[in-house]
Amino acid sequence: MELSRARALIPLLSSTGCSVDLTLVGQGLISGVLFGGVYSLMAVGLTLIFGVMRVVNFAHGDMMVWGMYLAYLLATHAGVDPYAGFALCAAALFVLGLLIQRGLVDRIVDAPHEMQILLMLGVALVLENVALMVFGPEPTRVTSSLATATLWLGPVFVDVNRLVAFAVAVALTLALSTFLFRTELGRTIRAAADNTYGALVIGTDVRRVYAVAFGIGAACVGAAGALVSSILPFQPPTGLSLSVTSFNVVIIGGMGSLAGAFVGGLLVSVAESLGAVFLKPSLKELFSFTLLIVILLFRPAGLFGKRAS
Amino acid sequence: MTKPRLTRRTFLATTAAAAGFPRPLRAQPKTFKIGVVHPVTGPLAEPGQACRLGAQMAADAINAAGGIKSKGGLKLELIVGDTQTKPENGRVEAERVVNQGAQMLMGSFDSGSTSAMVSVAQQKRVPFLIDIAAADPITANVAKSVKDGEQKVQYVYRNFPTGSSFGRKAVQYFTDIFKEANVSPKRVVLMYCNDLFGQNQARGFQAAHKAANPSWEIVEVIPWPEPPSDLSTEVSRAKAAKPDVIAPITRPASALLLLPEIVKQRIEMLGIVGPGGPGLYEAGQLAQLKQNLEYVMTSVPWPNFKNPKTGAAAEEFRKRSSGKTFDTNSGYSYDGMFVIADILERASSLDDPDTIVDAMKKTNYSGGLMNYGGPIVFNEVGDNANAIPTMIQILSQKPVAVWPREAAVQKFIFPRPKA
Amino acid sequence: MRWALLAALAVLLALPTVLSSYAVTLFILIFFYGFLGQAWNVVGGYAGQLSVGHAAFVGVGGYTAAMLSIELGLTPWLGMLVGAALSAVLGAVIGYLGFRFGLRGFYFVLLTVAFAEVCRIAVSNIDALGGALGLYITFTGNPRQLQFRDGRAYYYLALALLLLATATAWAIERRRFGVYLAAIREDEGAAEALGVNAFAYKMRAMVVSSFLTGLGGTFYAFYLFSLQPNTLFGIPLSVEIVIRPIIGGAGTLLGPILGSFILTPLAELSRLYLGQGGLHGAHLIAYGVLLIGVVLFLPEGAYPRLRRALTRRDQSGLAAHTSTHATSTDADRSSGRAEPARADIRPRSIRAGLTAPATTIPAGLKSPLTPATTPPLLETRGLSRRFGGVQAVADLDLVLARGEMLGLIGPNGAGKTTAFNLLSGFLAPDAGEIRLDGRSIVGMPPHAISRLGLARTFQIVRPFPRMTVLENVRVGALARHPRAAEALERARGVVERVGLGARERVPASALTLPERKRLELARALATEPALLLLDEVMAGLNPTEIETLIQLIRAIHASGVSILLIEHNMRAVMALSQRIVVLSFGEKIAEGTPAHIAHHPKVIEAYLGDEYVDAAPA
Repeated sequence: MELSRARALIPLLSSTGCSVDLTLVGQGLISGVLFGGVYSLMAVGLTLIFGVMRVVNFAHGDMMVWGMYLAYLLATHAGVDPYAGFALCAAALFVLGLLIQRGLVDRIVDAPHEMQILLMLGVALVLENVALMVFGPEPTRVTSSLATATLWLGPVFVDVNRLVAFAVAVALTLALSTFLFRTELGRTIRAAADNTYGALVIGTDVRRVYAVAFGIGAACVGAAGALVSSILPFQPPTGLSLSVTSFNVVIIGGMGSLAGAFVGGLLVSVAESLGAVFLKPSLKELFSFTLLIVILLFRPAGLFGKRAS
Repeated sequence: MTKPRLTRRTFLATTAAAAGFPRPLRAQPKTFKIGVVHPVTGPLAEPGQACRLGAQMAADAINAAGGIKSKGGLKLELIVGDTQTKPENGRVEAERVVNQGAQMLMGSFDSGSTSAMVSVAQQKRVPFLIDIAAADPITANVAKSVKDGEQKVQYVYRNFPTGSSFGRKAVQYFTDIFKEANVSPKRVVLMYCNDLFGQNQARGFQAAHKAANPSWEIVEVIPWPEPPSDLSTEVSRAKAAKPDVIAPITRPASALLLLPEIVKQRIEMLGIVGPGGPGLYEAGQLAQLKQNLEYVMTSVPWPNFKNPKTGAAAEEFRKRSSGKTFDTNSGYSYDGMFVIADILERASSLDDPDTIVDAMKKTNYSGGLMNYGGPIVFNEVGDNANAIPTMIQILSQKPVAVWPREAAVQKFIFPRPKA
Repeated sequence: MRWALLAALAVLLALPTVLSSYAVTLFILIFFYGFLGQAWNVVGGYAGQLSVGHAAFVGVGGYTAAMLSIELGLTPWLGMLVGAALSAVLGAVIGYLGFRFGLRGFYFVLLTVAFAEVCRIAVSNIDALGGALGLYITFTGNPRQLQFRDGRAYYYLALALLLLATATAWAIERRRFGVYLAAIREDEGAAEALGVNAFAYKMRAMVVSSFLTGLGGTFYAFYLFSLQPNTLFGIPLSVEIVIRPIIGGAGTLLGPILGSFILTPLAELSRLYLGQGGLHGAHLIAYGVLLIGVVLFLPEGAYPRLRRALTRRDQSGLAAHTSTHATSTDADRSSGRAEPARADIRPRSIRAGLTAPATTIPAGLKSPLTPATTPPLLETRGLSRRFGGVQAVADLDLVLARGEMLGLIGPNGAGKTTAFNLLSGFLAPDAGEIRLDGRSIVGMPPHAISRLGLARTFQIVRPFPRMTVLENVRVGALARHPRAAEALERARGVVERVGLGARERVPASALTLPERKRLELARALATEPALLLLDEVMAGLNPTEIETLIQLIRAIHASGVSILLIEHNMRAVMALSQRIVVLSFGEKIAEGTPAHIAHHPKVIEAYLGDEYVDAAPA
């Protein structure tokens, strides 16, 4: 039934009485693109950590949930809007990232992938359930001054909150690129990422670089958590779905690529949004997973990734 | 030979650890043990904890009032269990509590775990009162198997609306309310979370709508994956269907996304009326959604606050849960325990599960704190057809019963006032 | 060991008579998860292909049996097999895509997760399969419907499943199948070079694993009486499946069982004692901490550690299989140190070679050059391969007669190793023809070429680090002797022959560089090749070692194996080769006897530059 609806739409587009569906498609596109900003934000920290250290951070989503809860605490107890408080969340997660890297990841950087995955799963379990003990099981959402602000362009509207998130995603991607390509520390991190051995030879303290890189990655996760905390409701188990979505985005865009995270976020979001327009919305995630499988098979390095050897 | 012995020792050590869990404590005589199993951790921890507290409060009240009088003031003792919403834990916990001496079972909120508990109840002949779980087949399957002669006795009974009775009542309330309000909306858009609960409710609602064939139509059905990260396109699609009424079936997390989105997209309509689901009335949700929930109606099992006992129980619950509302979950678990007490009072003997089941079948209890359509009576499949939802509405940031008339505490406001 | 296992089995068979029904239930879960872990172990452990989507197979198996039972009244005893077969089909699809497209490690993980999620979403939306509401099975207690009133029946059923999976794993482990899977896990490329069809074996492992896992789905359905897409296809179940064998020891026979005996009671205990009161979630924190602890302190899992502790006390145990697994990083570092800078080709060494005595043809070799009527053993025509802007091999014509020992030399970057990779199938040529014994082998995968009798060594040695010397060589021997015992005998002979007899039970990771070079040679030799490609086997060895290795190669040659060798050590090349081909920038610049090559101006120019040619005495 839903499929026939989608098919019926195509002739409808060319006929006259289709203004409703066209508006819906347009609205779906706008919402999709803007929400892509949220997905991009979610993915940046993940791609950074993988790009530098080749560590697949399965605790990614749970770290982000902590960023969200910190933003929530700031908002409810200190009245700080998440758009202002995100820097604090980033700083807190930087420290958490540093601790996780120094205490755990550093010991197994050379271990096989499955060991890293298990380690980070363990970290994820701990983070999720500490959050459960501290914050309880109820879902929450941070209220922001922008929460229900909208701009109307004729029949379609733009969600101001998402517009801001989108802008922040662009800014963060640019800022990180600038950091990695234009600063001394950034260059060192990239060098260590490209060639650990070479970096060792020229006297880089690779362990320190890794710790800083992991910390920065975690800080991005924290910032992203705070920034999307007024858009996404969250509760302790939300981490898993955040991780899964972020992995989708990052693989599609290209592991380790900032531009990939950005474009991947847009693609996944638009695919899901259009899926919700044309098909049963409960099937929309099928689009992103199918996209993921196709990318894995035909371009495993992702759209913007370097070809794996 | 060292190696093998050690290996076996490891096995045995583990075995001992496994077998060494609390053994049956049949030595203490004066209590009747009831296994109370709910998901108190995991994704449904919130309602599960409410259920457990509701049951405990009821047991405390029964014991304080002198226990089971016909059995010499026998006290109730709860052996609690946690399913984490995993079916396998439903089975494990049922086995464990029975092993620890539970002679009856109550639980368990989610239909998967409940189903797993049913098999233990039937297998071990332990009378099981389902306090919450809406999937129709849970009891119907057992009834059919007894009817077909595959089993002798049905040990499973349910005091909670099933998906189909939820649906029938919701369609009836929708029609009544539209009529009472003297409006004739035509276009209803059904939106639901596509998980076990949401799909069950949505199917019941659609089936009942088809059967009743009211003057209003369900013009669009929009399920979303639960938990959703974004519902804006879903709401845009609802808007494109030009709804008079949006009928949402939510979970708390998706309600937090859905309602602000409906406000944002400025949908012109008469109101939001839900066919039944959590997320639209709880204290935590109200604190977050505030005005977005004002005038929202939803059809849920609801305590009868006209009964003065209900107010007292709600106050006790608020205290013991540090601020939560006494509602669907806590209420049905509370009533469930009182139904069990009533059964025990009437049972000729508590030693034989079948005599307990005999008493269970003859239940005719009207002391519940929830709104019922009549006394609690189990029908041919073991469900209480009088377990019905109530239409509630958020008025001045408080959920109040507004329909049916005999349950209503306040008059509903529909269509909702234009902002 | 065997008696101990039988005793343990007897205890397990007798236990239900004394256990409470609750303890029986716990054992059922231990067996069931042990079974799922063992099924996973076939592909995830032995073959090292980390699948985190195994829940999909549980789901497909369970749903199939349940649907067949509900809709058609088919007994789940048969439905179980249908479900398992469908799971195997799904496994084959996922495996085919993953392995054909070369997804490894983390990428394979994501592919399996994505497939499981696609199944979950699809089933949630298909009303005919119950949708998100799921399927509910009526409890009847009828054994024909795989239902039992007595919980102990499930106990024996779960135990039977566990034994079935363990027996399957055991049968795989002691056959060629298992040895090959282990080789693939350790180093897929090196395994290919030894004639292992990695794709085919990974596919088989995936199919076996998904079939077994599918059986488990039926047990789940008829033990718990309801199926929901979120629980049966969800990521959490996949993680539960993976976690036990890894904690117990992936790729070991008893690891998954041990893992389940550790984790299942632990989950239960912690849920019982930590999940109560206000400490919601404390038990999962404990679970997480344990996981972290195992990864940090027991990275190979509990079973190998346990086994080592036991063998230390009982030296008479089966040490052959007990690889002591030194971490490969140590070994790599040592090899990195021992590996000389490849700038070994200095004027001094080439001049040393120039003055070396002319080749002595080993005695006993009947005829170095075959009669013109039979085709040459190896022949290439116009072989070319380009990397980006670099023409690594250009238009190479090469002929190697049966019984010949041919040297392939040239400066760094001349394209020698590329030529080897082309010949052995690791690279596909852009153009040109390769004939082995008259038969074109262009486009053949490495394992097929290896089976035709062309064996190679790798310039940077690639032993299977966690296998012993003997086990390493056995992988090669299995190519001609599929029966494991026979292959082991052959391998022992080869190990003796290369002089590693005393070290046959040492894990490869613990060998010194010269030993590794010998191992590399032994492994290739064990495939009983007609033609052996040796890539710089002398590099990094001292003169004494080189001398013994020269003798060894001569002996191999004398036994009738033709040899093509790349060598930088001029003394060795000059001593061994009957003929030498010189490459420079991918092109053949000279060909001839060692004496001829030694004086060839182009060769001197290639190695030393123009000036030296002018200055050198003619």
